[in-house]
Amino acid sequence: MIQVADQAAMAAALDQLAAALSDVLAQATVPVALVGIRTGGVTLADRLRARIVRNGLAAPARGDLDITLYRDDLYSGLEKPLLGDTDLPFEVSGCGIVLVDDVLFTGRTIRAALGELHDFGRPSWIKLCVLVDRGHRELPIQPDFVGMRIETRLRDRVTVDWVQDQVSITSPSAGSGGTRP
Amino acid sequence: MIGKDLLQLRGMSRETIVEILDTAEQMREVGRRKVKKVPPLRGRLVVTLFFENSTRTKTSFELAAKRLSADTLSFNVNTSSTTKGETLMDTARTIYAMQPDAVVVRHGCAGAPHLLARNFPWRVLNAGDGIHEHPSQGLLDMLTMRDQLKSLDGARVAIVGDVQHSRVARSNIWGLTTMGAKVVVAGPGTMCRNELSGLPVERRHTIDDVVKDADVIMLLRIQHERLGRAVLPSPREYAAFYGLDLARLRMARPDVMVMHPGPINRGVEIGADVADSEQSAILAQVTNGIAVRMALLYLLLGSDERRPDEVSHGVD
Amino acid sequence: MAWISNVLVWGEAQRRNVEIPIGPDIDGAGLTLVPSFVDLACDPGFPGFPQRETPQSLGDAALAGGYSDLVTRPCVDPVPDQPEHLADLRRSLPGGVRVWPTPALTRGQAGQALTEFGLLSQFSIPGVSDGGVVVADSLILRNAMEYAQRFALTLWLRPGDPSLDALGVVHDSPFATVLGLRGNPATNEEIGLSRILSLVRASGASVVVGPLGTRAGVELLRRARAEGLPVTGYVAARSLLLDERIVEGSLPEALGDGGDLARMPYDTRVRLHPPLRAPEDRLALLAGVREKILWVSADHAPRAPEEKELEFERAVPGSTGLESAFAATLTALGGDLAATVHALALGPRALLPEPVTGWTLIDPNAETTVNAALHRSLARNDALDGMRLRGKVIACFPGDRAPRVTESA
Repeated sequence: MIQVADQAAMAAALDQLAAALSDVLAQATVPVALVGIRTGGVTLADRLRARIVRNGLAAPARGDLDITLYRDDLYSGLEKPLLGDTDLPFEVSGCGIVLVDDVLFTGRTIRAALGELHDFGRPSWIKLCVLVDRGHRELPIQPDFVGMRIETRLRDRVTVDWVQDQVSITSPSAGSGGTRP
Repeated sequence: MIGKDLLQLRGMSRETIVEILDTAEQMREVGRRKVKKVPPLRGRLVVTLFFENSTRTKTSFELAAKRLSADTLSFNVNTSSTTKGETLMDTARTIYAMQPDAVVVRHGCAGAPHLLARNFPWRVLNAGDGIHEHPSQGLLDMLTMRDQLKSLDGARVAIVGDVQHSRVARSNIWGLTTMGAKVVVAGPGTMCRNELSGLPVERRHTIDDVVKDADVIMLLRIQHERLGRAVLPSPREYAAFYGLDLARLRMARPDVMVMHPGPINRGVEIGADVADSEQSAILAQVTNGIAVRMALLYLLLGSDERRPDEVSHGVD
Repeated sequence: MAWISNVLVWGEAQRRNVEIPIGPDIDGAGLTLVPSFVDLACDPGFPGFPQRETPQSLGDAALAGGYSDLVTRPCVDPVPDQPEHLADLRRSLPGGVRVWPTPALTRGQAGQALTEFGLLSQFSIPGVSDGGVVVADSLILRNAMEYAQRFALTLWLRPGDPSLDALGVVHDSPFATVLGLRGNPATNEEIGLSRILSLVRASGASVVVGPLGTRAGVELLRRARAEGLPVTGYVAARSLLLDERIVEGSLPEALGDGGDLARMPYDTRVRLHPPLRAPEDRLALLAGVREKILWVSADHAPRAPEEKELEFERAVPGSTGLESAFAATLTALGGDLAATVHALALGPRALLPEPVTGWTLIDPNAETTVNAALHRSLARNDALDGMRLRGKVIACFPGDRAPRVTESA
C-alpha cells in the first residue's frame, strides 16, 4: 500500500474544491444542491458543505444517491453491494446539481448516477466534483472540479481513508488477495 | 447466498433472510419515488405461471418485475378438472422456448416449483405450491413484523386457523423460527393435527391461550371448500371458537400486530372491526409484498453469471 | 448341454458342477444356486398398457431379477374378470417365465358384484384379487369369502379402509406436514386388515394380504397367524430399505450413503400407494420377514415416463421391482441369504397352485448399483434407482429349462 496523499495534501485538496464550489454557489441563478454518490461521495459532500459554510455561505441542499440499481455490471458475477438509500429531499427539476464522488475511475458510476438523477426530474445543469481522478476512463466523462490527479495502473485499488484523511494505492500483486483472473 | 431458486423458507439461512429483508427495505424506497422504476432488470423476461387464481400475488409479482424494468408475461392455466390440458412439463417446455429468465409459479401441488426448477436453467420463484410453502408471503410478513418489532429475535407470533392446510403458515413458521422468533399455533383439531409436530411450533388448544402474550397474531383464511368435508361444521362455529373479535383482541397486548394474508373473511376468522383497527397491519403487508418481491427478483436475477463477457475491469 | 462349475447348491455343503440345458458354461466360483423367486404382486402392463411393459420385456426383466414365476394383478385393460380372459393371460413369457394371473374378485374391480369364482377356479390360478383396489364393501367381502370356500379359492386382498385409503399421497406423519403433502394414515391399513381378519375368522376363507407397510399391520398378522387363521402376508422389497423420508431425498441412517441415490424432494419414483411409511414401520416389516410371517414381493409396477413426469400428487403411483428386489432384500436382511431365499422363493412358492422348480444363480457378495436405465423392463421407474446394494443375480433358469440339480454330477 502506497500513500499518495497525506493529511495536509487532503486538506489542501478539500480547501481548493470548497473554494471552487463556493464560487459556483455565489454565481448560481438556480438553487444548487450537493449530491453525494454512496458511499465515498456522501462523506466528501458533507466535508465540502462544512467548508462552504465556513467560507460564509448558506449551506446548500444535500442529497444522497445510491446507484446500485443503475449499474451496468449487475450481471457480471461481481459481489453485489448491499443496496443503500437514495435520498433527494429537494425538487430535482430546475435545480443545479453538483454530483460528488470520491474517486473517478472508468466513469461508469457517473453514467449510472446521471441516469438515476434524470429519473427524479430534469435538473437545470449538473457538474461533477471528485476528490481523486485516477484515470482509465471508459466513457466520455470528465470532472468539472478535481482535488488531485494520480497515476495508477488499471488493476490498482485506490482507497480514500476518511478517518486518517489520506489517499493510498494498493497494487494487486503486492496485496495478499492476489489478482483477479 | 440466495441460490438459484426461491422454493421454500425451510432450510434458508438467517443471513439470506436478512439479506432479502434488508434489500426489500431499500426497494420500498423506490416505491416512494415519483418515477417508481429502476433499470436493473431491463430486458429480462419474468413469466408468471399461475395454475390457481390469485389476483393479488400475481399483481404484486408483476408490479415488482415492472418496477425493476423487467418485461412480464402472464400465463394463466385453467386447471378445472373438466379440461384435461397438457402436463406441467409440456407447458413449461412451451414457456421455456420463449426464453424467460425467471418463472413465478403458483400451483396446487406441493413440489411443482421444484419440478420446474430442476428441469430448466431458469430461476423459479415459488408463489405458492399446494399446502407446502408460500415463501414470498412469509418474507413479506416477516418484513412487516420487523418494521414494528425492530427485531424478530425473541418475538412471539401466534398463528390461528388452518395451519395444516396453510402454505402461508408453513413459510412463516420456518422463516420466523430461523430468525429466532417463537411460534405458537391454535385451531380446530382438524386444522392443527397431531402431525404438526413436524413443524417447530407449540400447539395450544384455544385462541385465548395464544392471544394473551403474543406480539403478533396472524390469522389464516378459512377456505370455504373445507366446509362440508367434516373438517369444519360451519363458519359461525369457527368464528365462535377461533375468530379474533374485539373482545379477544382486548385480551392481547395493546400494541399487538394483527396480520392476515388476505383475502379476509370478515366475521369469520377476523371481526369486521378488528380488520380496520389500528392494530391491523393488513395493508402494510400489501405494500411490503411488492418490495419483497422486487428484492427477490433483483437478488435472484442479479446474481446471474451467464454474461461473463460483460465483466467490467473497473469497479468504480 | 453346458455346465456351471464349482457352484454351491442351496442346502448343500460342498461346491460341485451342475449341468444346465443351454450354454454357455458358467464359472460358479463364489456363486450360489438357489430356488428361483416368485413375485406375489406384479402389474404385467399387458394387455392394455404397451408403454409400460410387453410380454418380452416383462419376461426379460423377471429373468434378470431371478424370477421364474409371477403372480399378476388384474390391473390391466380389459380387467380379467371372466374365464375367457384367462386363456390369453395364462401363458409362459419368452424365456420360460410363467405368469399366474389372479383374475378380478369383483366385476371390473368395481367392488359391486362377484366374478365367477367357480368357472375361474377351473383354471390353475393362485386366487382372485382386486389388485391394488381395496374391496370397500364389507358385505361384498364377506360374501366373497363365504363363496370362495366351495372352490378352495384364495382371496388376495390389499387391506385398507375405503375412505381413509383415498387420502393422501405419502405416509400421514409430521414429515408429510413438513412437505405439504396430504397423508395416507397408517390406520388405513390397520382398520382394513382388522376388517379382513374378522371376516376370515368368521368365514374360514384363506387370504393373502399385502403389500403391508405398517407396524400395526405386522402385529395384526402375527397374532392372526398365531391364532391359526389361514392368512399369509407380504411386503414389497423396497419397503424393507426405504421409509417416508426418501420423498425428501433422505435415506434411512442404516444404509449409510446408499450409493448414488441422489434424490431431489418430490421425486415421483417414490410415489407409491400405499406409501412408504415411518422408520419404525420399516423395522417392524424387517422383523416380520425375519420371523417368516411375511414374504417379500417385488411389487413390480412399471409406469411410462408420461405417468411419472408429473407433479408428485398427480404421478401414477408404483415402482418397478423385479430387477432390484433380490439385492434389496438381501441388503435389508444384512446379507442373510437363507432368510432372503425363504422370503423371495420358498414362502411364495407355497401360494402357487403348481410346483415351482426353477433355479436362480446368484452372487451373494457382489456389490451392485441399481441402474434403471439398464433394466430390461420397459419402464425406468425403480424407486431404488441409484442405490448401492449387496447381491447380484447372474442367471435364472425357469422350470422348463432348470439345471439338473438333483442328479449328482
